[in-house]
Amino acid sequence: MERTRAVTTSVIAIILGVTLLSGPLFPGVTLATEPEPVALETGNVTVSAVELSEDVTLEKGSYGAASYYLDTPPVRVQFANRTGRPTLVYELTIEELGYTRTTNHFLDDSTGDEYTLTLASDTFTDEEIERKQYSGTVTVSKRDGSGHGVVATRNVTISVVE
Amino acid sequence: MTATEFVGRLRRRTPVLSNTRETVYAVLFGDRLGLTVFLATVVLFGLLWRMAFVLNDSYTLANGLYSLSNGQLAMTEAAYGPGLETPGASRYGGQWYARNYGVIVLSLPLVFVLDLLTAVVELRIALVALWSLALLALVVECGYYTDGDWVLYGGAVAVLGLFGLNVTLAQPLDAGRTHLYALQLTHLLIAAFTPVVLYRLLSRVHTRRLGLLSAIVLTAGTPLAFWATVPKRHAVTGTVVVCVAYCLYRSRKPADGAVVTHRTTFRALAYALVGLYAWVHAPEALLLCVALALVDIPTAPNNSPRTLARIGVVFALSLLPFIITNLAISGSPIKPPRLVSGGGSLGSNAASSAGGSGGSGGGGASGGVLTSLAPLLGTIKSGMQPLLLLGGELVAGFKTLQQQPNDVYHAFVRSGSASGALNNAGEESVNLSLLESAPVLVGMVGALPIIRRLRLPSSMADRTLNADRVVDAFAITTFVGVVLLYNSRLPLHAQVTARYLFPLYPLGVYLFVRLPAVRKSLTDHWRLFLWTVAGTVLIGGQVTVVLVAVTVNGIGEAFQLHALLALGSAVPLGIWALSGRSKGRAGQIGTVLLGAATGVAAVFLLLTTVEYYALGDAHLLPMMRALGELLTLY
Repeated sequence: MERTRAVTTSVIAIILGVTLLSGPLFPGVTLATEPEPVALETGNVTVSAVELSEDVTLEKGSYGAASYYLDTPPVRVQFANRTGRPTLVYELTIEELGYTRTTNHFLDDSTGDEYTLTLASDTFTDEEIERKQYSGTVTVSKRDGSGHGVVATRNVTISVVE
Repeated sequence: MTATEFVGRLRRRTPVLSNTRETVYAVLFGDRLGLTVFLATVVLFGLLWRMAFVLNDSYTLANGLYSLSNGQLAMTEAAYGPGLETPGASRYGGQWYARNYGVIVLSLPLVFVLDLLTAVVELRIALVALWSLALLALVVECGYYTDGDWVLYGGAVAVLGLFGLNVTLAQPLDAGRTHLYALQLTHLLIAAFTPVVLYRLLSRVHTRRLGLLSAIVLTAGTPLAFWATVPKRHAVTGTVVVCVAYCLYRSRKPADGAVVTHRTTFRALAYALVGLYAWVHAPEALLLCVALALVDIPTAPNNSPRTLARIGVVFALSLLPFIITNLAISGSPIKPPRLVSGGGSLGSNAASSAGGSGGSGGGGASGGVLTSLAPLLGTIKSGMQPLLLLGGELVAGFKTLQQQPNDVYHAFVRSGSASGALNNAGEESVNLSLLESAPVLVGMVGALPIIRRLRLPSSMADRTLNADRVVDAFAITTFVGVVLLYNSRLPLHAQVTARYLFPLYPLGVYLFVRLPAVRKSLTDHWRLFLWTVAGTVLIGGQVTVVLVAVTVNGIGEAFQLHALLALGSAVPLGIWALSGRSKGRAGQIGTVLLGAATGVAAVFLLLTTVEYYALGDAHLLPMMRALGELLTLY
């Protein structure tokens, strides 16, 4: 009984003590730290090869979900060189739907020589989708220390899959 | 006074103090197991707590609390959200007002506590510490029920480890948003009492074991944990409904408690709870009041004018905060802020008509005697108005049942692509039906074979029912009432898990646990039940995660996958419940099906809070935030 009581009391004491440490009473101790802000669009990136697929689909939601899901295949890129923290932007435009979507990919030193860019999925309502297929444009661009620039662009056909 | 005298006096006071502690303990939790249920629920809710806004009408409450903490009833400044004109805010006399003032006032002390904590310690670490202490208390309680001290030692190490992990991962919490946190904490604490009181009720009606198992079904098998930290009325309604049922039960049994010595007190308490709830959401309180009176008065053993007058006085007193708030805002005692601008929950047209005629009073009365009685008639008429409105809504709900069976099907059974259930913004199918949210509720169909055998009391002399029958009658009446009240408006966007129907979750769990087959199977095979729930969550959860990661493109599909899984677990459970068998193998099968349905809902609950509605990974606990960041399923 005495031992269990001692264990409980000491755990409580540790928790309360650490909590007190976190406050302004102990200005030297910081327990909760904000993640460090990173400087983006720095360094340099040169893309040597881009592998774009043309197989974009608008697929009827499975499990009875009431929408069409945009499914854009990933783009594989190879780098000739890459330093710092450049950004790659994957963009899809479907002009007939008045639609544009971009996904930014933030590269850093842990990125290898190859990278797969994905585009976040999106949904369309039944009313918006009237045709069997649409035409669109896929663009990959880069943003780094030397500025913004288009890496590759391609016209794609978006087929509607029921 | 000498030192010895002082010590002597202290010694004499100690038993009094310890008595007070025992009494508070007994009043809040009933017994030790009740406290354990409370702690476990609080720990779970803390685990799933995201410190952000799920629905934008919570902005209204946060701004209301912000203004009130600065001494202003009217909202002065939009400290939260895009502005003061958020859903649920009402304009009166040129000023904006919030709603649900009951919970806003209840949250006020917590704002000061949180502000105080912010001054002394880092708020994130303080809340993590509170959660860790709750977990430690749970470990101590669990240690009490097990032989040997290994639970306590192991648990203490685990608590320290988790606390350390959370502190290591911690990021500072925005100390300027204490009003939101206070509101969430109030709702969390209120919601934690739903399973506690359900446990207390069922442990009195049946056994403590059944009470405990029902609390588990309610907490894991229904969306209670999802709504617990959402500053909206839902979690509060659930607790009030269960508390009223509990008071009703105690009012029919000889008083044996430490504080309440007369059972009529419990009867009055039931009405008082409803009266206080009016301060949060008047239309639902009115429904509860009607349901309570309809069940209580005809079945009570004693309806002497004196008793009724006493109850009436208590009820009137409990309505005082509601009335005072209304007077301060709209000038009319029965016109709550949410009905002022006609955008209230009781149907917008109906509400504005109440607003129009509420204050005028007796316009139609004419003639000599009638003119002198006009003020009185006016009062009666304006008093009747809410009842007429409620009646109108219930009738409309009943008509929907006949005229739009498709809507009813989408709201209660299968949501899917029903246009009314789509989310307004993204057109995503994220609004599940009642059954998809809590598949265990299908167990209620087990009542059908019983109803056939049921006989009505043969004479009026039999009208005084047993305590358990009174609670059954109240649960059924309220269940039907809530269904009819919202039937004409469902399916609807921004419901997530049919939140308007929230009181049906605790009521439904109570009702189906009362069925003899369910009750017997659960009690006989409780270990099997717990293992099935654990297995479904641990193994089924992983399978679901893989399934979502591989086949799902977005939140709508994910929700519909969970919906189909829920319905898949509900169908066999429904068939078993209809068979009504609990002997031998049938009882075991039923228990497994119950456990599976509970587990499927729990997996949905966990994935919703960690992944689908992570709200920018705003989890209270840094370890949950890290998990949410790690897990990317689509």
